[in-house]
Amino acid sequence: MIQAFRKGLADENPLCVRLLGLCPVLAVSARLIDAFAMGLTLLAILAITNTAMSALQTHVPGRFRVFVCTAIAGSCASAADLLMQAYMPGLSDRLGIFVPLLTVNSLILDRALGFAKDSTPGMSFGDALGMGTGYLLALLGIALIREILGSGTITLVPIGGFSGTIEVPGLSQSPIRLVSLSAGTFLVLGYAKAVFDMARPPAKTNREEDKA
Amino acid sequence: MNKHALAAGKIAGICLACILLVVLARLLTASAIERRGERETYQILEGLAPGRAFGMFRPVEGKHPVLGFYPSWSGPGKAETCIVQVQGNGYGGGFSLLAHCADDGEILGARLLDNREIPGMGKAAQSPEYMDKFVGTGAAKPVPLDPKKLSQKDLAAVSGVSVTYAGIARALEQASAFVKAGGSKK
Repeated sequence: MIQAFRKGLADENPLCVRLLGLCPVLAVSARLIDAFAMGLTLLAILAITNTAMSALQTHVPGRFRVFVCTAIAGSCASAADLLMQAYMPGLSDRLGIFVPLLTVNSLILDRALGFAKDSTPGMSFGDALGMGTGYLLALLGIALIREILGSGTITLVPIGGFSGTIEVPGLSQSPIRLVSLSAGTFLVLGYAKAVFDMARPPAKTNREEDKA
Repeated sequence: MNKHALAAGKIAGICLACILLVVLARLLTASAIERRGERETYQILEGLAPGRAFGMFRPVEGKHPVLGFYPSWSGPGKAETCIVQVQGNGYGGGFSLLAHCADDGEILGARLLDNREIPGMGKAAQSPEYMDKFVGTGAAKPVPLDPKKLSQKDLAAVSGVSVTYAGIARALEQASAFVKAGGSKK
């Protein structure tokens, strides 16, 4: 379970290595607090869907797995959306359609239909926690870079006298606007992937594997 | 046959559990979402007619784009104006808006209340300034249904969201016609 947890953080990071779940990154990574909420929501839905799909693997025929997976992820996403609408209206307005869209998130479908298929519920839960945490951390990193460079601010939760926004001297007056636009997401993500790829041992090609 | 029936039963059970989860979430959040909606509506009403008092919402019976209205007063006495809730059709979905109308049907202000269009399509219409182009129309001056009749500045604002614009203009015209016909006095 710990091994399943670890691989999602770095070696198989869903965002910076496997480029899964790009839709929310494009939509909500311009503000740190939005990225945190989205990452946490995805982590919770992934954990429930992955564990449930693993527990139900012997009960659901193969050709119906995708429908069942969508039903479980969809109901979790709808419940999360309703809870946000009720108790975090500002956040709900900003995340908008992207919370219900987690139903068809490629990371959730990949883990629930791929990994959970041949694993125990415990391993699937560990995998979901690892992948979800890896996704959350990568999303937070990208959001932090985008918000600092693109807006010159860091948005956190307002508490007491603290307004929730920290202005970065210099950048708040003249930010690099491109980074806060959609194109900026791909630029930052591209560099993040390059860093992850450099840090990992090079993957063997088919020819090298054949020789071995 | 039995094998298939068993699988169908299991899948139906899973679907039922999913539905129950959503129903439970709905039950837990319904009152908070309703309170939030009421608070937002009240804020919009205050923004539309600052400093005025409002009556209770009076629904309009039957199949009509006008859903109801809030009578409004600036002081003691009869209602002078009313804020009409009307629904319209936008791009890939409907919306409802509040239109503050004088007795003669003149539109004094308007604001989108709920937008169910394809997300992002009618975003521009959600800003209060978007409705400025309709203010003063509906009585002596007709509601500009055709965007070609707008000024160059207003035309630029509706460019790219012409379906939303047409829906809003039609809805406002219906709200104005409702007040002119004495619908708010009944």
